[in-house]
Amino acid sequence: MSIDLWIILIAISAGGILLLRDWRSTVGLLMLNYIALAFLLNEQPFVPADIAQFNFSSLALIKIIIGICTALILGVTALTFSRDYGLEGLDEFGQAELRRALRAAVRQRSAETSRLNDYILPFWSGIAGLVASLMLPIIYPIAPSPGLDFAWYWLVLSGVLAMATAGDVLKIGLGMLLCMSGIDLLYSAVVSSPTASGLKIMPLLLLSVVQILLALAVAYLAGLVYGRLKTLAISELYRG
Amino acid sequence: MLYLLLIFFPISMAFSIFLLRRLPRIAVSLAIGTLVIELFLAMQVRVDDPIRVLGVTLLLSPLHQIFLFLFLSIGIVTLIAALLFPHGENFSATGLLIIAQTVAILVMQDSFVTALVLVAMGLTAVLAIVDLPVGAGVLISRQTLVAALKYLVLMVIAGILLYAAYVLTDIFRPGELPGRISPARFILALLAAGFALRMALTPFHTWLVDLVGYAGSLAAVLIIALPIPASLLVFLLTLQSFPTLIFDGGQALNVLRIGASISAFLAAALALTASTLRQRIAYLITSHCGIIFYSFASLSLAGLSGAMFGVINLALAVTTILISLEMIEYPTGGPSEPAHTDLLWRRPIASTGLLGGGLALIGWLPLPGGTSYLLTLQAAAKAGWGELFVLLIAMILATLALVQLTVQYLIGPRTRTPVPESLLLGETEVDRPPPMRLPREPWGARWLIGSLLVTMLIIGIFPSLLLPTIEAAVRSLAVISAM
Repeated sequence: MSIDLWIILIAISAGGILLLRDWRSTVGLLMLNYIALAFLLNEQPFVPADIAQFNFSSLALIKIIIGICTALILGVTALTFSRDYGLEGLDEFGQAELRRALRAAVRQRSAETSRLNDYILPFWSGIAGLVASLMLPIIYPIAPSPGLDFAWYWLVLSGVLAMATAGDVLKIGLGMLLCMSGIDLLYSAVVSSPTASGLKIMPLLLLSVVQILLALAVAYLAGLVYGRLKTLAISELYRG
Repeated sequence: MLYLLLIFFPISMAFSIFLLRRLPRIAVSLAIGTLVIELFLAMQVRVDDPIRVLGVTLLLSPLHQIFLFLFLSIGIVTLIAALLFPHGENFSATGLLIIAQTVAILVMQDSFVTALVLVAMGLTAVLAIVDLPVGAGVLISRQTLVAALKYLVLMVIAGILLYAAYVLTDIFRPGELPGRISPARFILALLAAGFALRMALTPFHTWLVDLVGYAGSLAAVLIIALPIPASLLVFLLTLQSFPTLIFDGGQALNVLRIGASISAFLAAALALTASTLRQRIAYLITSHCGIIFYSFASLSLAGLSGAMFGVINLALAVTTILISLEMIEYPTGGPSEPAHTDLLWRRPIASTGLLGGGLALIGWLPLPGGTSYLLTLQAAAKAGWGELFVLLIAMILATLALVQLTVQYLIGPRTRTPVPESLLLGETEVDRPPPMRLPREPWGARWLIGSLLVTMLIIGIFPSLLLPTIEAAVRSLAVISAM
């Protein structure tokens, strides 16, 4: 398997999303992931560089635009979590419930310390996912090159593991987006190979739209959860 | 152009209606008008007249035409119910978006594209789950948020499984690479898992139980009665497009059939042990989905016809049941009313709708479920006695669950009117709050439920209205002709 800078960047950014908990880092890493994915696709022989002036392909440009859109949607939502929406119509029971939730969230935050234990499960699951992603291209190659196979296997596996080990709603959303970008890479790589039917505009368009819609749905849901519980922690959702 | 109009007209109207969301009656009326025009447009479309747009073939087959009319009618009925009962602020807009996406699935003849639209539909449905009525002075409940999150995650996972399967079908060549696990089996496994999640087969059913339990009933109609049948049609399109999967897949179909029958059995058993009315209904729906999937996986003329008839029955039964539930809970808007045991006397029409829908779900004649179940049993008898036995047990358990539901909630002992306590010292009759009176069932809703029941009875008594078209469509499938 040839080592490629963009594959290394994809591996690091997806691994970082799996491991880290702060949204400021993970949303940034998501954007980096999309950019690396775009450049990885751009250097493939089956992707024509149709923007000749910059030796760049429109497919890669689309990936960068999707990356910027999804990161912006999630980032702006996270930045505006502190704002309260639609509280004017709330009855006194609802307001009391919100105050209770705020107190619980503040208590939880003050008790929360950065413990090494919180990283053990994501770390070891990440190691297992990495080993699987290195082995699977040998056992079950699908894409035209082992590097591409590793990239899409790792993106999907790290996304699934991020969802499985997530402690908050935003992390689940990031996991889903990683899985989607993995499938996006698989589609672009496999379908454009010489033996396949070739890239079509409609599936590419819908894949891009679905990723942006997914980011919007996650942002909306995260906003609702924060508005209701003053925290994004999934454990709070199941309490009471 | 009509195909594009069918897809994009409701989408454009959904965005216009979104702007009017603070005026719920106008928004709902506009949405109903949109669907009536859509129904008119659907009548104008010529069947089996394909066009190609952006590399995708658009075609409306006679089978899909039946489903198109069914989905539009369900949309209209649900929106009329929204005029009578409380509903979410964005209900009309999200409803129109879901219907537009369902129409797109019906007319698009590309499996990968339809799988993408299915995920987009799932994302739209999340908005409907967490939707609160205009000016509602309450907070959204934690359980509703959990239901939405669960639905979102499971639908995205289902979508990823389907995407992977469709990408693999693009490079799959039958008989390639001997000695390695057949890609056909791998692809079929991905497809089966993806569609099992979408169709809420046990053990992938939790999203449906949460959805029926905690989301608004009218939103649940749009999220269950449209996407589940549409998913099955996508699966059918997949097998039609890649028949070699079946021949190269070996015994995979047997595994699918056995899995589906066990799923139906488990769901029916869970319906017996469920603790609330909504949970019991959710498990009955899941059990019915299991039987439909079994019928589909049998891949025979009787089986596939039974599955198609079954999803029509599912769509009608779910609509009837959930609108009836909404009426039972009216005007309290919560699950307090089902705490009573004499609903048949308190809410006679709603309870009849609930019972009628339930009977359709458990496959009793003369409702359409009966015809569907008979066809399924015919397919199961050909497959073997073991599978037939499991299916029969599942059906008996589902019947017992409905009997239990009827006794527990509908025909139990009548609630006595509480005897007013004697007046306290210094208290007068005027000081006391007026006694709570349960308002009568709205006439509009009575008509709606009555119409749904009559429609189900007509389809059940005269299955020949739909069955020849369904059988002709099934006969034309490459898989069936080859088998």
